[in-house]
Amino acid sequence: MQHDVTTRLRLFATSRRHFMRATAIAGGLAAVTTLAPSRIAGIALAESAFQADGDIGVLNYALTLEHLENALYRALNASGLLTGKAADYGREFGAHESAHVDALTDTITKLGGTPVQAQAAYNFPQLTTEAQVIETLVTVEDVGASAYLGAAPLLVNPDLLTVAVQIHTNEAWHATAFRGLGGQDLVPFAFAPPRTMAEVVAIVTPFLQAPSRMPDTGLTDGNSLQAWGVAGGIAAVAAGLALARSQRTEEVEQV
Amino acid sequence: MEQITNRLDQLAQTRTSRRNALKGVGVTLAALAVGATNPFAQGKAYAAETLQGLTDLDILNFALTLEHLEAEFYKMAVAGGTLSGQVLTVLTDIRDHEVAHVDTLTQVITSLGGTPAQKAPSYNFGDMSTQDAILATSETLEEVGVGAYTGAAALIKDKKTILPAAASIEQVEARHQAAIRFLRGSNPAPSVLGPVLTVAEVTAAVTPIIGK
Repeated sequence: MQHDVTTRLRLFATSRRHFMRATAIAGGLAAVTTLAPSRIAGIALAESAFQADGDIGVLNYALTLEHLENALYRALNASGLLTGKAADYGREFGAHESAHVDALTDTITKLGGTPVQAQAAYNFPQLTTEAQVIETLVTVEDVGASAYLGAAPLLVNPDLLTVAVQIHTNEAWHATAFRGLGGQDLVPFAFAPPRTMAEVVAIVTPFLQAPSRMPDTGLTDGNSLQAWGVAGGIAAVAAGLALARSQRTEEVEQV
Repeated sequence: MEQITNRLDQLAQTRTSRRNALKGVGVTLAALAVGATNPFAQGKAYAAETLQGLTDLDILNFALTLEHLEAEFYKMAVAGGTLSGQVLTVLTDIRDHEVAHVDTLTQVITSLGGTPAQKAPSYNFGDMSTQDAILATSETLEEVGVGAYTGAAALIKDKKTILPAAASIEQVEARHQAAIRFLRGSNPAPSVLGPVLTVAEVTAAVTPIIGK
């Protein structure tokens, strides 16, 4: 199972490179073609074939994380540590993660891909108090939201992108709910930080099953999600945010 | 006032029917997968809108219009003296976020050579006299915001800069929505998927507030 996750992540990295090349080729063709309808249709077909491949990689990455979240909720719900509202949320949100797993698995299969499987077991930390469980869920849901934020813009199919953003919303809701129950900041930032796949893999690796604690993803900085401009987008936002900060006092005082 | 209420009722119904439609998310995603070769097979309005020639600048100004509305709402709510305790703390943070979104979008639109949308001369937010009324309006506005950004995401052409930035803001609006629901004692995560609205639906929802 460990191997399966690792293999999938490596395939994902490969498919991204593949896609970059394919897009460059298709883009080049589009630039020189005289836009005869048949030519356009041919290019579109070739491009969508490669894009589907890339999208499957992104969806399998998401599915890997959903399996982990699903298993974590099962374990924590079974621990009996959660009470009252936290127990209700644990059950409901666990059911959400399970629905995400089913939906992603189904979609990947329908697209002709092979959905990554859940591990037989995960190395979850031994928790002893309700506060620890809530804190853990805040962390995991925040990471989940940041992972979707980093990966969703890579999806080429617009309908898949829309649904990924909708799942992303749901993960952010979960994080907020447990932030509220844990007495943490409900609305911690004006711009949500994304994480690259390499960053997420580094965070979740301790949860993955022994013996291989650190999966070989075949990723380097050069072909990680970073290369896809996520960092660039956030740099622009950060610049805007800095400007906004300097103007905010003045703006608010005008009220 | 009555008009706003009607509009919001309409929106709520739209939302409900969408939620019902999305109940079996597996079925939905499966349908999307089948429709991947023909986005219109499912009658997806979001995809159809790509044909209407919306540019990234149009979408950014659409977002800025909403952010102006939200920023003005929270400025008024916080300055009104009606809020207290955790509600005041959280809504003050949210106000700062919306102001930051306005400033950032304005800057980005300007840097792309566009003309940033200005805030409306006045807004009609309905009843602002109690904390409960303010929170109820706030929840609706945030849900519209989340649905708007989610629906617009697939229309954005610049996938490397503008889409990640828009998705980043969308997550913040989602956290606002959940925080408001938490403050109101509702489940912050009421469905398997977040809301998605078309540009037309968003326009219909906010037009009575902005007026013309």
